[in-house]
This record gives sequence, C-alpha cells and structure tokens, in this order.
Amino acid sequence: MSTAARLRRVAALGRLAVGYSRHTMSRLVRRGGWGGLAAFDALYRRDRISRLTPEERAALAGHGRCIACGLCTFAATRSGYLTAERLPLQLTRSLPEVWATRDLALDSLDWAAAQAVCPTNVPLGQIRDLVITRLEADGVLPPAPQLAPAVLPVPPARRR
Amino acid sequence: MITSTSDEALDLLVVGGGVTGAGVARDAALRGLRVCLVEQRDFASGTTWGSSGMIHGGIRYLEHDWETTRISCLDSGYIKRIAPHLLFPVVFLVPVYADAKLGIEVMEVGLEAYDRFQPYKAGRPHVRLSADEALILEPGLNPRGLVGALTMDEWGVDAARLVVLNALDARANGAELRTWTEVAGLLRDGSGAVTGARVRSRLTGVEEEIRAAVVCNAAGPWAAEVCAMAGVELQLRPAKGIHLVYDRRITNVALSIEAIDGRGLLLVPHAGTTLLGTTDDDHYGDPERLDVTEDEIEYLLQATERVLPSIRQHRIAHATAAVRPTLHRWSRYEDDLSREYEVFDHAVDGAQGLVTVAGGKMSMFRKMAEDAVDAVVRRLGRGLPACTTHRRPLPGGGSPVDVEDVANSMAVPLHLAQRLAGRHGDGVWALLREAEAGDRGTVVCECEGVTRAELRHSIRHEHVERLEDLYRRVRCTGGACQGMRCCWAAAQLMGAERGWSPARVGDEVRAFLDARWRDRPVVLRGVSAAQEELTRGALTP
Ligand SMILES: Cc1cc2nc3c(=O)[nH]c(=O)nc-3n(C[C@H](O)[C@H](O)[C@H](O)COP(=O)(O)OP(=O)(O)OC[C@H]3O[C@@H](n4cnc5c(N)ncnc54)[C@H](O)[C@@H]3O)c2cc1C
Ligand code: SF4
Repeated sequence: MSTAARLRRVAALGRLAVGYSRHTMSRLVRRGGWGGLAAFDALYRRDRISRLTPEERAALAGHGRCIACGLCTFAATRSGYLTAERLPLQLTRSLPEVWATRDLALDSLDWAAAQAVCPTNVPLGQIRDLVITRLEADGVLPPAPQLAPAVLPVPPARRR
Repeated sequence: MITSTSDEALDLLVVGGGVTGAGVARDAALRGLRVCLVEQRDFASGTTWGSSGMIHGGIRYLEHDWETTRISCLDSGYIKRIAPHLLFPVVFLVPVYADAKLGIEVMEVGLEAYDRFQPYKAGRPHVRLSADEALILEPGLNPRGLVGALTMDEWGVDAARLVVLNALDARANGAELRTWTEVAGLLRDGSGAVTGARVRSRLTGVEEEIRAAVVCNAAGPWAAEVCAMAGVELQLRPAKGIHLVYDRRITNVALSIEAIDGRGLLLVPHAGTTLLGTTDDDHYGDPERLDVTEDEIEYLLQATERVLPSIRQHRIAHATAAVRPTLHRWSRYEDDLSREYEVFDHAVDGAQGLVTVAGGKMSMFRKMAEDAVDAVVRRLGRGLPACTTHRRPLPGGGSPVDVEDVANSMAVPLHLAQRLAGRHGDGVWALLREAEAGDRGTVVCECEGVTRAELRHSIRHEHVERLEDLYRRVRCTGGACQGMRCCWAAAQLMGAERGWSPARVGDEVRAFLDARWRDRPVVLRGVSAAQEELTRGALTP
C-alpha cells in the first residue's frame, strides 16, 4: 500500500472513530435512534415501498405457483384488460406497481370460479383482496416523482 | 452511417458491447470521433447481464477513503440524472442479529457517515428500527436473536437497457454498431502498432477488416484474450458470481444477509423479480461457458434461510452466472480508486493504438468510459471537446413522463403505460404514436406486459438481430415462464418485420429454447419442473 493510501485509510478510520464517539454520546441522550417505522414510511411512501402484512407474507409464495395454463381466464371471462391469469402473472409481480391496476374493474370477474379450476391452487381470491387493500392504502397517490440528485457539483478533478 | 468497409480508417474501434464498451462508444461519438462498436453476441450479454443490477455509491470505501465514496456517489448521481426513468429505488433492510460480526451501533456509524454522501445521488438517509419494527416491516424475518435493523437505499437499474440506450445514443451520434460480430484478430503494422481488427459475423460467418486509428478493448473478462491478439499480456483475476432469479418480488425491501463464510449476500427486489446473490469464486475457464451448480445454489439458500425462513417456498425462474473482470491487483484496491479500474495505453508494451479499460463496476461505467476516451483522444493527438456524458440525457431521459396522461391520451391500460414509461422514458410518446391502434394494448409477453407495439418499435429501431435480443431490449421473455409462452409469437412478429422464412423463425425459436434451458433445470423444482419440460418439448420445432 502506498504512503498516500495509508494516510487516506488512517484518515477514514479516524473519521469513523470520531463518528463513533458522537454516535455513542447521542445514543446516551436519545434512545431508539433516528426514525423508526414512521420515518421509514415518510421516506418511501411515494415509492410505495411499504410494510408487508403477515397475511401478504404468507400468501406470497402461492402467487408464484401460476403455470400460465389460462384455465382461470376461461372460467372467469374477462373485463377489458383484466383477465384472471394476469393478476398473478403480470399485475402483482411487483407490489410497488400494484397502484397501476386502479383503472381495472377488479370486481367484474368471478374469482371463485377462477380459483376453482386452478390446477396449482393459486390463491386468486386472496390476490384480488391484496390488490384492493393496496389500492385503498396508496392507489390514489400520484406516481413517485423522478427525484434529481440534490448536489451535483462540477465533475471531480482528475485523479491521475 | 460510417461504412467501415471503406478504405478510410475510423478513429476508434470499440471491442465489447457491455456497459463499458457502450459507454465508451457513446462518449467518443459525442466528442465527434468516428466510431464502430463490435460485440460478439448481443449488447449486455456478458458480465453486465449477470450483474446485480445496482447503481451503488460505494459505502464499503468508507473504511478506506471517503473521497472515493464521494466520487462513486457523484457518478451514481450522474447516472440518475441522465437516465431517471431507468432507475428505481432499492431499499435495504439490514437486520442485525446478536451473533453478527458487527454490532448495530458500529453499523449505524457507517450509515451515518454514508448519509452525508446520499444527496449526491438523490439517496435518502438511513433509518434505525427496533426488532419489533423490523418485523412489522418484513414479517417474514427470522425473529430469533434479532436485535434491530437499519435501512438505507441505492438505485436499481435494468442493466441491459442501460447498455442499449448508451449504444443507441452512440448510433444517433454517428457510431456504427455491430452485434453478433466477434473480433477474431487485431491488425498490426510493421512496427507492431495496432491498426484495426479482423472481425467475423457470428450470424453469416463473413469476415472483414475494420481499420481504426485506435482500438479500445472493453471486453470485460475477455480483455486479456483481446490483448493477447496484439501480443500483450494483461493479468485479470476473473471471479464468477451467480444469482438466483425469482419470478416476482418476494420482499418489498432488499435484505442483507451473512453467508456461512461471513461474506455478505443480498436478496434484492428488482423490477418484477428478486435477485439472490452472489457467490464470488475465482474462475479460470471461458467466461462464455458458465454453469450454475447445486452447491452454489445451496450456499445461497442456506444463508438466506437464516434470515428469511420461507425462502425455499418461493419460485426460482432461472439463474444467472457471470464473471467479474477484476484487475489482478484487486486485493490492493484500497490503494486508489483508479486501482479498481484501470485504463492501459499499450504503447508501452509495443502495441501503440491499443487502449484497454478493465476492472471497475457498472456503477462507475460512465467515469470509466470518460477516462478511456480521454486516453484515446491523447493517443489521437487531437484537440477534442470534453466529455458531456454526465449531463446529456440518455434517450428517454430528457423529461419526466406523466404515466396517467400517457394512459388516457393513448388509450392504453395504466399498467402498460407505467411499464412503457419505465423502459422508454419520454420516448413512450413517439413509440405509441407510431403504433397501430390495435397493437398498443395487445400483449405478447404476458409476464412482463410487453405489447406488439413495443416489440415492433424495438425491432425497427433498437438494433435487434435475433429473437433472444428482445429480452435485453424490452424484457420480452423475462418472466416466470422464461419465454415458454411467448417465444413463438415474438418470433413470428419478428419474422414478419424482417421478412424471415418460416424455417428461420423455427431456427430462432429452437436456438432461443436451447439457450434458455441451459440455466434452468438446476433451479426448477416440483410441479413447475415437470410442466416446463413438457412445454419446452411441445414448443420445440
Ligand atoms: C455477479 C455479479 C454482480 C455484479 N453486480 C454489480 C452491481 O450490482 N453493480 C455494479 O456496479 N457492478 C456489478 N458487477 C460488476 C459489473 O457487472 C461489471 O463490472 C460490468 O458489468 C462489466 O462491464 P463490461 O462492459 O466491462 O464487461 P462485459 O459486460 O462482460 O462486456 C464485455 C463484452 O465484450 C464482448 N466481447 C468479448 N470478447 C469479444 C470479442 N473478441 N469480440 C467482440 N466482443 C467481445 C463480450 O461478449 C461482452 O459482451 C457485478 C458483477 C458480477 C459478476
Ligand atoms: S388457472 Fe391457475 S395456474 Fe392456470 S393461469 Fe390461472 S392462476 Fe395460473
């Protein structure tokens, strides 16, 4: 390791050590740390990166059982863009994107009929409920804004 | 368009269409150089394809050099600025267990330091959670021994699309792109200087010579092979890494996990999938022939199970394997940021006209390309404009898109509008205007929500040569079924656009199915294994 690199490492570790003492002091007066769940929710609500309920956690593995056979779509007919198989296959693959199903008429399909014919027992009714709950929670929020970095100074000086 | 068969030499021939090569081609074309990029397969089909798809700011450098973290965050910020539509937040939950190597206080000190650099890349400050709060956020966490948790964020990116947009912007600025074309040898004059390359099309077998004042070797883990063509020795220490790719987001937050050997693993929700990785093993073979082994899979699952006990219940769609193009002196990376990647001018090795850019990471591709093009410009000995890639948007990144407006005014479902805007940014308007009304909402790839309109647009405008390229353009065939359901429809549409014969369409489907099947049997389990074997048999022409 070159001397310059060694000095940079010493400086980095020194700054972390200072950070550690500051942190320890502030922990003595401020229990619980910065934030907690409320802070998390505030930071990521617009991105729809939110808590999973225990029910959602339990059901998620079942969503992946769909083998795209299409039987449920025959059983439940369709409503515009919405078909039964699209729910597990496409529309709920990414929970932060579930809001974009808000233009679909979820209640117009016969979910019980769809689930009854599913050969791999995909919990279609449960998935529909999950979508409704998520839409109620954050469906009306506008899409997350495209954040720009707050600090973008001129390009760094040449290093070599 | 440059005709590289002409006698006039190009300024620059770029070897390799991964993120580095595409970045070099774009930067050079924007500075006014006459450029050709040659890629032996498709764009992003090498290491870039197998990456974890993250633009990260270099938190680990905080122990070595804060300036490196600053530069790394700054460059992530530039990527966020030039391609805002492609990047999405990946929020990490770092659960801390009683037996962890580092305690929660020490870890929080690191994150407090990192908070200062987050604004460079529009990142947000860390949050500390109690064990109970962590379990509310992710009820699947193993509660035993959980002390608390910390959260922080980085950016995720569709790595293949990032490469494609760089390549397309290079083309828009005059560069020529050649995919499925390999450099079979380098041309040298009497003094040993490199004067171009002999290239061979992998589709037609036709060989030709391309002359260029400088050849930039951006061949990732193949860089040593390309150097050897000029009699130059380049030492890399290639390291193989695999990922398991799940069919959907199985968590809402990324989880940081400690493996049995103390290495850090990540479970990352990434677009509509989840990536679990990665391993890191020295690799001595051909980077193009990589297998995923049962041992590697078990290594990942065993570690993950300690944190997310339900992991084995989720469906793995496929696995990826790639080789990091690590510099041989990697173990001394803390010496300097430039040690992480290096630009070599091989004039010192007697091969004037050959420049290699090696090492690095995807998050630094723009800076690597800038440094490589600076070296090329120095070699050319011309005064050329400075780099502009940190402020000039990539295609689609010019202005924010109101997805609802797209959905309403172009009469497409909101979900499709959202997907289109994520891939094409403000290019979504032109794409939909050009499309026939009947194609706009007609889905070909069910899992990824890819429509006929998007496929036609991509085939016409995005340098698509083969069926499998569509995955790296618009994620067609990228879902749970890995294209078993849509490959025929996509091939037929492509055949119609390109005037392929039915036999050629069948050949493409066969090649596609064979390639996809290679990394699937090892991860398929239970009923889906049987079902997919059946489907594959039925589909194979
Ligand atoms: C498992 C894994 C996870 C990673 N995760 C991340 C991450 O999350 N974030 C990050 O920043 N970095 C990550 N990296 C590192 C990052 O992926 C690489 O540094 C980067 O993608 C390298 O890009 P490249 O263009 O240099 O190489 P490549 O992508 O390999 O491109 C080189 C190209 O050259 C072509 N080529 C080779 N020989 C020839 C020839 N003779 N003629 C024509 N073409 C040729 C190849 O086909 C290839 O496409 C990861 C790496 C691995 C392995
Ligand atoms: S019936 Fe079941 S397995 Fe078949 S498409 Fe519908 S949800 Fe999927």
